[in-house]
Amino acid sequence: MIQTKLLTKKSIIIGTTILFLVFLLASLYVSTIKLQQNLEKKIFETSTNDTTSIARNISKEIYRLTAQYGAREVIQNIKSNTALQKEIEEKLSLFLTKDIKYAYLLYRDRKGIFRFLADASKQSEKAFIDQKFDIDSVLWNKPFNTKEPIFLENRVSKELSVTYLVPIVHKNIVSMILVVDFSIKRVDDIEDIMKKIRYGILLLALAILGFAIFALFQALRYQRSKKDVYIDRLTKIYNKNYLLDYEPYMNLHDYIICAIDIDHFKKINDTYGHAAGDRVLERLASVMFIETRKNRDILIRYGGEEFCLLIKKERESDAVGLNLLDRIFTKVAQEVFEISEYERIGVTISIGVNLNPENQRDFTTAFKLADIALYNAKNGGRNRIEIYAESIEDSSFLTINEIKDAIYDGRLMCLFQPIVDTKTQKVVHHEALVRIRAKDGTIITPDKFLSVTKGTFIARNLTKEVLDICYKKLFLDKSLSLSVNLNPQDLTSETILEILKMYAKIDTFSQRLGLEILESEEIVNYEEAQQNILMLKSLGYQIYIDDFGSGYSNFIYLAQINADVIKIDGSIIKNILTDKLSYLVAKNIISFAKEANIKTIAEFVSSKEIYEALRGLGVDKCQGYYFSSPKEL
Amino acid sequence: MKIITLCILLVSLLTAQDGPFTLRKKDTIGELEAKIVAQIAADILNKDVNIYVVGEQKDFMTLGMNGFRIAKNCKEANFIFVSKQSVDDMELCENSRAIHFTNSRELFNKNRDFVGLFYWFKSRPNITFSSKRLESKLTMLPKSYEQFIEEF
Repeated sequence: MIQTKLLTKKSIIIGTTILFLVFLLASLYVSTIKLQQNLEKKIFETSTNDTTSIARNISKEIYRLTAQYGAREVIQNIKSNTALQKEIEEKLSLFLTKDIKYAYLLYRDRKGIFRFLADASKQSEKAFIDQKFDIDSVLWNKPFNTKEPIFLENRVSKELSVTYLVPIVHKNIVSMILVVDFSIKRVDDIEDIMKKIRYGILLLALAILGFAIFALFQALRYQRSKKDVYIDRLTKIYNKNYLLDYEPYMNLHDYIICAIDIDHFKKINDTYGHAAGDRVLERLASVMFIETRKNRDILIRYGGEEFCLLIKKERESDAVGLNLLDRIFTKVAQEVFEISEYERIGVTISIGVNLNPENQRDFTTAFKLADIALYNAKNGGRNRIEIYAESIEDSSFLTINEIKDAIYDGRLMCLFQPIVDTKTQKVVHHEALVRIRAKDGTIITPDKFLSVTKGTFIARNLTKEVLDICYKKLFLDKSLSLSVNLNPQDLTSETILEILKMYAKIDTFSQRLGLEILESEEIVNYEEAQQNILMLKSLGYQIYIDDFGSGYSNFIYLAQINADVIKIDGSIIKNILTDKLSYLVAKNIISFAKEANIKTIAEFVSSKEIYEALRGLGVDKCQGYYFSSPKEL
Repeated sequence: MKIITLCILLVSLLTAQDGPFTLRKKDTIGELEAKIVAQIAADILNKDVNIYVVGEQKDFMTLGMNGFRIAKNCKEANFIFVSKQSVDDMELCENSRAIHFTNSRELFNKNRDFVGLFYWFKSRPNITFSSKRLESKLTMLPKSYEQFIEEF
C-alpha cells in the first residue's frame, strides 16, 4: 500500500510536470503562429504604407491622362495610342523597387477575361497588349464592383506575397485596374524562421515524449526493484524495509500497532531444524495475512520470528481491530503446521498490542509499547494477547531492537564488582556485571533489558559478548579471577558451550572463570542442562549458584549439579541485622554449605555491621558496596 | 497513459496534412505543374489518362490519381505532355493522334500540334488553349475551360 502511495505520489509529480511542459509547448507553438501573423502584418504595413499612397496617386495620374474618355473608349484609346501606352508604362515603372516586382494595367473584356493594357516590366517579362491574364480568385472582380482598392494574398507563388488592386474609374465605371505585385522578402524570412522555431518545438515535444516513455520505463523498473526490497522472500509479506519507508508517512491515529511473536520458536528450530522453522514462518504469515483486510491492514515480518501488524482503525473504534486480532490468534491456534512429510505441530503466538499509538511521539516509541506488551504476554505464560496499559511497564525498558542495536554498535560493556575474602578482606575475585551504554552515554542496568531478552536469541548473543569481554580481561591479567552470569538457555546453547569448551583449553582460564547460574525450574527439570553443568565442571569451571535463598530454592538441586559456590541472595543479607528470619536463613545456608563443603558468598554487603555479622556466621566471601561498587577494570 | 496519449495527439496535430497547427509541405513548382496538367488531361479526355511525358516524369509518377497512367511511348498515350526542357525529343511523337500539351510558349507558338499551353506569367499559372487547333483535333473542352480558350 505504501509502495503504491509512494509511487503514486512520484507518478503524479512526473505526470503533472510533463503535462505542464506539453501544455506549455503547445501554447508556445500556437503563439508562434500568431506571432508570425502579427509580424507579417506589421512588416507588410510598414513596407506597403508608402506604396499604396503612391499607387493611388499614379492611378489618379493615369486617370488624368485618360479623363476625357468614357469607360469603353479609354481601353481602345490606350490600345491604339502607342505614345499614351508609353507614358502610362513610364509612370508604372516608377513603382518597381526590390519589394515591388510587377506593376501593370488590366481590363476586363466582354467575356470577363482579364487582359493587359500596359506593363512596366522589363522586356523578357513584359506582356503584350490584350494578352490574357488568368486570375486565381474571383476577388479580382471586387474593385470593379466596389470601386475601392483591395489587397489580395497570393496563395500560389512564394515569389509574390500580396497584390494591390486599385480601380481606375471613368465616368463612374471602373474601366481598368492598376495592379501592383509585392514581393516582400522579409515576410518569407520570417516564415522560414517561424518554421524552424515550430520544428524546434516539435522536436522538443518529441524529446519530452521520449523522456516520458523513458521515465515510465524507469518507474516500472523502480517499482519492480522496490517490490524486491520491500517483500520478505520467505513469507512473501512486507519486511522491515517497508516499515522504515512507511513510518514517516504513517498517521498514528489510523492504526492499532501489534507486535506478534511465535512462542518457543527457538525450540522448533532446534528440534526440527531451520527448514521446519521456515515452513512454520511461511505458513503462519499466510494464515495471518488471509485474516487481514486488503488495502487496510499491513502485516510485516519485523525480523526473525517477530511480526508487526498495523490494523487500520474503523471510526476511531478499537473493536474491529481487536476482533481481527482475536480471529488471527484463534486461526493460528487451530492451524496444524506441516513441518515435514510426516510431522505436524501446533504453534501458538503471543501478541502485544498498543491501542493508542497516537499518544506517542513517533512510531518507534509506539511500537516499543506494543513490544513491552508482547514481553508481558511472554512473561505471563505465552499464547496470549496482551494490551499495553500505562501501568504495565516503565517505558524506560529497552526493546529487543534497542538491545540488538547496542550489541551491534559495541555499546555492551561489563563493570566488575570485587569479592573479598571475609577473613583477610582482600579482593580474591570479581563478578562481571553486564551493562549497556546508552547513545547519550548513560549506563543502563540489566533490570532494564535482561528480562526483555529472555527466551530470545538476543540473550545468547548477549552472553557471547560478555564472555568475550571476560576473555580479554583474563587474557591481559593472568592473576585475575572472574565470574559471569549464565541464563538457563545458555546451558543448552551449542554456541555458548562451544565457546566455554574452547576457553577451557587455554591455560588456566577455566579455573579463573566462575559460572554463576540462577537456580530455576528450567535447569532442575531439564536433564540436558544438568548434564552440561557437570560437563563444564569437568572442564575446570567453578559453578556458582546465584541468588540462593530467593524464590525457587532447592537443596537437592545443589547436590544434582554439584555446585562449588553458593551466593546467598542479597534480599536475605541486607535484612540480617533487622529481620531475625533472614538472619536464621543465612545462618542455616552457611551451615549447610559448610557441611556440604560448598563455599559461600554473601551479596549486598553494604555496611560494616552486616560484614561483621556475616563474619560471625562464618561466610567465606563478601560482595557489596561496603567494599566497592561495580567498576571498570 | 494519458501523458503518452497527449504527446501523440500533439505530434499528430503538428504533423497532420491539414489543420490549425499544420506544418504543411508546400508543393514544388514541378509538382503543382504536374497536378494542373494531369487535371487538364483528365477534364479534356473525360476518360482514363495515358500520358506520355517527354522530359522529366518524376512529378507525374508521384501523383497517385485514379485513372491516371504514365505511358511508355507515344503510341500507348492519349495525352502527350512535352516539357520545355526536352524539346528535341518531340520528334518521337510527331505522328501521334494524342492530345499535345506543353509548358513551352516557344514550342506552342512554333508547333501547331499543341492544342494547349501551361505557363507561368507574373509568377502565376496561366493556361491557354487555341480554339482552331482544338477544332482541328476535334477536341471539345468542358465549359469551365472557356475562359482559357483564345481565338487563334
